[in-house]
Amino acid sequence: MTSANLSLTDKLRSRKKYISRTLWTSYLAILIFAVYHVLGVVMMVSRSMNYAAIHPQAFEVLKLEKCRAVTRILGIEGIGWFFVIITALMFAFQAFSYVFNQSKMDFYLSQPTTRGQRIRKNYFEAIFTFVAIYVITEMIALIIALCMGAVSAAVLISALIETLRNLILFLTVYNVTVLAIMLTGSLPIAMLLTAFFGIVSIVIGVESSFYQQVFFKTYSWHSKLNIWLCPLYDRYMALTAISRGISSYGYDISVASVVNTYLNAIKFDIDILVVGIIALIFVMIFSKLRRAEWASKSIAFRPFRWALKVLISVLGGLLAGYIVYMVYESVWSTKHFVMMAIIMVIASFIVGCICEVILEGNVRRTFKGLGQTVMAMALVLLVFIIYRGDLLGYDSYIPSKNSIKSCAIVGLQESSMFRAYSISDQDHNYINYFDNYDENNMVITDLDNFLKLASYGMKQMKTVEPYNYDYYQEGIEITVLYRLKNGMSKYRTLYIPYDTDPSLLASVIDTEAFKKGAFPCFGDDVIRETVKNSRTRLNYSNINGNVETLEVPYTELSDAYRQDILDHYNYELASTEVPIGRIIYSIEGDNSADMEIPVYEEFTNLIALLKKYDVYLENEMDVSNIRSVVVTNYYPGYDLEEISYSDITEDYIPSTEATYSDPDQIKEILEGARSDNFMGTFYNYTDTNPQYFIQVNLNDLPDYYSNYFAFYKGRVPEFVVQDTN
Amino acid sequence: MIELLDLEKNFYEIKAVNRVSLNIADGEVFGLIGTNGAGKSTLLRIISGVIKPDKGIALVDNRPIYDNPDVKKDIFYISDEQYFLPNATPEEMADYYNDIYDTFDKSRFYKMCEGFNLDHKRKISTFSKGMKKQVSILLGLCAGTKYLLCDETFDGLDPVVRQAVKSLFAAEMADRGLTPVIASHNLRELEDICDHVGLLHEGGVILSQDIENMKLSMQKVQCVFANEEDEKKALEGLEVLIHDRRGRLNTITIRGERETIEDAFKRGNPVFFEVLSLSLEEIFISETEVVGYDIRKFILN
Repeated sequence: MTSANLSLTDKLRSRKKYISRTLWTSYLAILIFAVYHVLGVVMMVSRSMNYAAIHPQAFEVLKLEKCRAVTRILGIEGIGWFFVIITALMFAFQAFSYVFNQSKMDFYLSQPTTRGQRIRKNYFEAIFTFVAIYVITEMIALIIALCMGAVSAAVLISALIETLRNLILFLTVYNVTVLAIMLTGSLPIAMLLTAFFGIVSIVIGVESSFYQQVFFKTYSWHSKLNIWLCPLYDRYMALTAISRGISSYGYDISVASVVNTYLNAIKFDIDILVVGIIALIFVMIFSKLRRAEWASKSIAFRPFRWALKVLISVLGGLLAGYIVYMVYESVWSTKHFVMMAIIMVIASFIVGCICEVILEGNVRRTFKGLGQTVMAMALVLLVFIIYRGDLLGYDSYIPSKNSIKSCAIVGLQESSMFRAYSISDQDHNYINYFDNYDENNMVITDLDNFLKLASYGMKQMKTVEPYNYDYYQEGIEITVLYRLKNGMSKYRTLYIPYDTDPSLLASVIDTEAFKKGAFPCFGDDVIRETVKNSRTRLNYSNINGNVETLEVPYTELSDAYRQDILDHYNYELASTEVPIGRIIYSIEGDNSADMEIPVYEEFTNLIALLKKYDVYLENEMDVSNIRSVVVTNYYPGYDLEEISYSDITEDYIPSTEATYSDPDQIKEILEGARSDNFMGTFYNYTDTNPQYFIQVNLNDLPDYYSNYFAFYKGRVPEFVVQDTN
Repeated sequence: MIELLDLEKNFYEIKAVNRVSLNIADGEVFGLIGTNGAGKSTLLRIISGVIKPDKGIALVDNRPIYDNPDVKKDIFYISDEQYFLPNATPEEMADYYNDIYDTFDKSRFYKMCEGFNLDHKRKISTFSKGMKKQVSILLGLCAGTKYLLCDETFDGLDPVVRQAVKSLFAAEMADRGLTPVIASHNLRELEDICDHVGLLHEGGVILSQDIENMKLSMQKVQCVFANEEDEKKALEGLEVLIHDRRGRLNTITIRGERETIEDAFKRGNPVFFEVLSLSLEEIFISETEVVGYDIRKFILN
């Protein structure tokens, strides 16, 4: 009788037999998923209902809350994936651990079956068992949720998507674990290899990123960790993306919000699927090649054993380099590179020896397999040389024009002036819609000018010594983003000295593409849509004080600001002019927002708006309005207009302060100074003296409303020099 | 019939099986003898289809064995460390094999268990080593396969059970032509059950012969001669394998039939002579010394 002819009872009996005989961990899995799915849903939904009983909620709100509760267990927000991973590991080890034991191999392989049939049977039985357990417990949970009035179309879609995702995750973790089993001959080594497969991409990605930071001047902190083919990392990233997506939709749980949220994370699941497929292919190859007699060997395939040992030794050596840098970072100099290289090589040797001991299970085999250890040492040294000598041209990298889709300048101060939060998330996970605004919105396609600027900045970056005082005094650091046509994103940090030809910068900064990508007012649809029923407040402040109104509609403000940016903002203004004041606009409500808007003298639309609502303050300074001025000298005894910062040899110099309330003195101080408030990214600070800091305290206002000023070079009054030195 | 031709199997640098050629005829008990590490288990694993030989041919009834379920249906392999399913009872194991071997006879298994005083509902993990072996043997016999491969299976069985098992083997051979292949390092245990033995050493076959033929073709003579001339006359034309002297008493192992040797000794007119039967162990010691192995170092018991 073939299985196809078996009755349902016989099939169930046969499955029970299989589970009892070879997959008893299924009982554990049933318990786990029953508790997670069924009990989890019951507890979460009843929690929402109890909450509603204590804090009365509208029926619609309660319904949404209950649906959210279900999706947190069964949907894309769930943490069931953790149990899926545990189950995949359990099933793989139990279904295939017979390959580690010769007597089990004798038992199973002497029976009238082929090796392939046995592997296939175990492989598919474990998958079918998982699917059955998962789906049945999920269906029970959904039925209970339905009875509790906690099911909607969005819940079902979310649960369906999560089921598919978890199936992919199960298959991938299961395949990777089976692959580790097929490559090894003992349970402990298989477990270690599974763990290694799980984290190797992360280790390589992190170490690669670290070495770029250490060795390359143009490395940007915006650079993304390059981690691929790592299911654990993918799942974590997907969870983060989904959490962010869910929060951005607030209370809304609809089919569209679920699908759109998931689409933002689908690339991670595709990566997981790719790992699963690759692992499956290798499982098919190595299960065919594997011999029964390799049971109890540490690693079944010698070439793989060698490759594994070399790879682990290299990664160990690189990790040691990382540790050396961390320890000596604060006193790092060129000579430390030599020490770093030596320690990396020694570490790879030690790791190679440890690998040998673990793989052989014998401490006396420490120095066996020296060939592979030496190869690892050579590779570590080669990696060091490649990075140290920048043999791959990282610091010279400028993509060809044909390979670029678009570019951007990211990390701009201007881009971080807007913040709009969702406060609807129950866990109060605030999400700022404008995070990385420039990175997400700036699309510069005039590549000729952009690449000219990038090329210049890259050359400058290589000639300067970053992170010393002069570095910050003589120019600015900008980060450029190249979005390539192949889908990759490349970031580089460049240095633009203040004496750079202004036309070079203007050719990029004066463009509409730059402005629309740098200023979040051009991407504020989310605020415009939600602001209607919210309380708003506008505060305008300048050197003469600050005023407030509740009357200014957001859209009017935004429209005026947009127009001023388009009409008046340019590199010349940004690098030479100081804003005359600042608007702080805040929106309160379910979706809160606040923003800072520097107002330049040329921003006629904004000034007209302020005047219209009677909150404009004259720009001419009124000394009578000033209570006191506090001047801080950070380097008493020195004159930084005469000497360079690097000439100062003292490690610690206590700053000195002088407070002035005499109107004449205040007037003299402020005549030689300019406002230091609300400066943008591109302001050229070479006109000011960096040694002094001026705090202007206004009448009737506490100190936190103070204005800040800086002396122009050569304009520090003599009495200030005397008082503070 | 099981045919092994020029089989080779290496485990990295170790030659576990080295150019082994053997024929195991149907309906006879084949004993595979050798020291630990001689390659007995490896050979049985090749015959049972667990491992694949590196070189050579292994056929059962003219069919290759490896990865061939049709052939494996005719083979039941009892390895030296038997494996039972976790927490299984003999009944559950019988149930398991019943699903695998069409010819498995469950009722017979239960009956045999009763005969051997084995509780078929008790967990096997609670059985003694000998009882576990009994379960394995009974499972193997009830599987109804043509070939039963036993690796060190008789070691650890008490004499009564051993005798009972031998009787069962004999009955199965008579009833349905069972061909047991028994690997052991204990020659005495195999002597009274095997029809044919193959001696393995360091992966190679030293000899393979019917036990009866072996015994008929080799004799041990204890004798006393009056003088050296009589001794020369008696031994003239005989193939002497071992000649041991203790005072005037000679113990001589000679290849040849009993009548031929008796006639030769009568010619020599010895003071006393007696032709004795050789044990299997003595035959092997003699044969292996001839081919250069100092078998006393490794033949056991």
